[in-house]
Amino acid sequence: MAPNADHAQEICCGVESHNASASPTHNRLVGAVLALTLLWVAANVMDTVYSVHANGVVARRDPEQYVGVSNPGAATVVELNALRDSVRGVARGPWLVSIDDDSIKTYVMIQLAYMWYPDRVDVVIGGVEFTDLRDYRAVISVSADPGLEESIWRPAVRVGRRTVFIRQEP
Amino acid sequence: MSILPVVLAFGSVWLGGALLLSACGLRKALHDDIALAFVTGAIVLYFLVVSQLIFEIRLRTWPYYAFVLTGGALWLSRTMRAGEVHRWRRPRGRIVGCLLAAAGLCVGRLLLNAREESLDWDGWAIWAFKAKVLTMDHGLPLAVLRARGPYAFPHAEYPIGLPILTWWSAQASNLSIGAVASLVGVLSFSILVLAMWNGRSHHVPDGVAAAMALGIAAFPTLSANAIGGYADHLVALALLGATIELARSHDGQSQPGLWRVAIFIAFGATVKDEGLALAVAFFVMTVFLPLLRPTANGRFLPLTVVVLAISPWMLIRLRNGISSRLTDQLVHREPLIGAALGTRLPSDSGSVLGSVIDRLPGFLNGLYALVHNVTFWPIPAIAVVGAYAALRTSDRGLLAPWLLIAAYVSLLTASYLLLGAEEIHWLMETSAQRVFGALVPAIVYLALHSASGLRVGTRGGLLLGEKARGI
Repeated sequence: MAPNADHAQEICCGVESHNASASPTHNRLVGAVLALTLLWVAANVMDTVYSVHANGVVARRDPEQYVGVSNPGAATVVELNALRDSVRGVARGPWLVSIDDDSIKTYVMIQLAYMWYPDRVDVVIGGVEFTDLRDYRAVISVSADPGLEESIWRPAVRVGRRTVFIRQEP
Repeated sequence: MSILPVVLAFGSVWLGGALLLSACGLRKALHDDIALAFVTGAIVLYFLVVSQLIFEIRLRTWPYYAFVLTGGALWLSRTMRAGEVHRWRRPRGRIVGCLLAAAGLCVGRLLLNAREESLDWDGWAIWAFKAKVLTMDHGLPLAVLRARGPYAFPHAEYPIGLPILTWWSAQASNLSIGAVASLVGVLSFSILVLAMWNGRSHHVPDGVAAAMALGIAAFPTLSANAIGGYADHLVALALLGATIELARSHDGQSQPGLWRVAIFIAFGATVKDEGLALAVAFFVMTVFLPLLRPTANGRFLPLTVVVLAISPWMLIRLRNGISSRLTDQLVHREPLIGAALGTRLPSDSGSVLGSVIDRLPGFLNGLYALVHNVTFWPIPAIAVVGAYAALRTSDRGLLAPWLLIAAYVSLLTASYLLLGAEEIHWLMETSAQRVFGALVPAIVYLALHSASGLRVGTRGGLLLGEKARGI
């Protein structure tokens, strides 16, 4: 029986006592795992404490803050809200939405098509060049590189680094 | 706006599972094994909701309420027959109490933050979006499910366990779906913390289990993703629960132990594609189990739980032609999301082997960047020492949960190296931390369990108990 075996068992396990005859190698392995685990716990706790110190217990969301940490360059809440406002007065659908910016397109597509104007957006796919525009009452183009669109369409609103072009059929 | 209705609705998922397990005799008391009860309830809810989706009827909540009432009646009759009253065992020791309180503070802080929508982009677009659709349309319209339709980005093929939990919790609340999704993320994250605490045994004493629970509660990768609306912490819960049950069932070599493992695996398979990969890893482990443990015949039977849980969603996918990304990329050589957005794989994408060789440096670089994170760097060392301890022991049975983790990691690695549609650096940057972070709770638990189990003809709990006295 190892020294203080029952005592240790009582403190930590509360189940039953066992015999132990571990070698020094075994002890070192257990010690190593325990030490590393405690190090990991300490690192996590420090990270949380630092986060609370920096942001407060309740971290308020900055409206300008980037929503997606996993998508650098993604649209901000403000940009999306501006986009929604910019297309509010456009004729009823169907619309064609063309977005050439990978970091924003999927979210805008979903927001426009399902959440904001489900009755207006008929088709939302990228690339207007393969589509017959006559099928749509309006074309909404969101572009981060507005070279081509600027020569054809009227820029409706500038949203952050992007420009929203809206062309309405007469 | 109160979060209480959300908490109560979420709690009813646990209650349903607890009653069912108690009625089946798989638990002694209602408060035992909170994680197992929760995942059981979540699987039943998933099954009932997806079954309604199959028949395209308006989603109703009453089937789950009926299930809870039936489970309650069965539990009452069983309890009255047995006449047993089980008491909650209070944690021993002041330090253990302090560690648990600190873990509670971490979760409480997250809950305060979750009252206001705290979703990330993908959390919103992939998970909360589907919950919104379920709430608005009382079903999942075909347009949402179409793999190459406008909503291809939200991973139409993903199992919808998390959106269903969010939909369920939102039924009685006036909070926005985004806020409910954040709250559900935090509440289910707290189940993960409780699962770690409940993993205590004679191998993992109270003090160590409490410290690990605190480590999980403060682990930023999982907590931030949970409040951000992702489902990775649920995969972590499935893996941790399965690992704990495998480790526990080892002593008795019991079949009921494997059934409990299968329940956790089934839960993982209802929340994310990674959970389906975990189910495949479980199958691999089951095949090789006789090499490690003298298991009785019928070890494949628990797999029926997994098959039963995932079959309704697979039926919907089959009926609507929703293929997996793996099929699209390996067979058809085109990316699911890219196809919907008008992009194509490069024509010179080459052979699979060439793709693996091209992507390997990016993959390794991504892993290197991952362990540079201060909250990650002890993990490889913990895994190596723990696996070494398990290998050194004369008891091969301890290797079974390591085999499960190894098979799962192999599948994850293969998906990164074989799915060549996305650029590997971008893929690693955007997903590695979440996906590999889900392994951490199980690895930490298993390393401690294995090191504690390392002994020569003795029981190992004492050894760890002695080491842990100072905690």
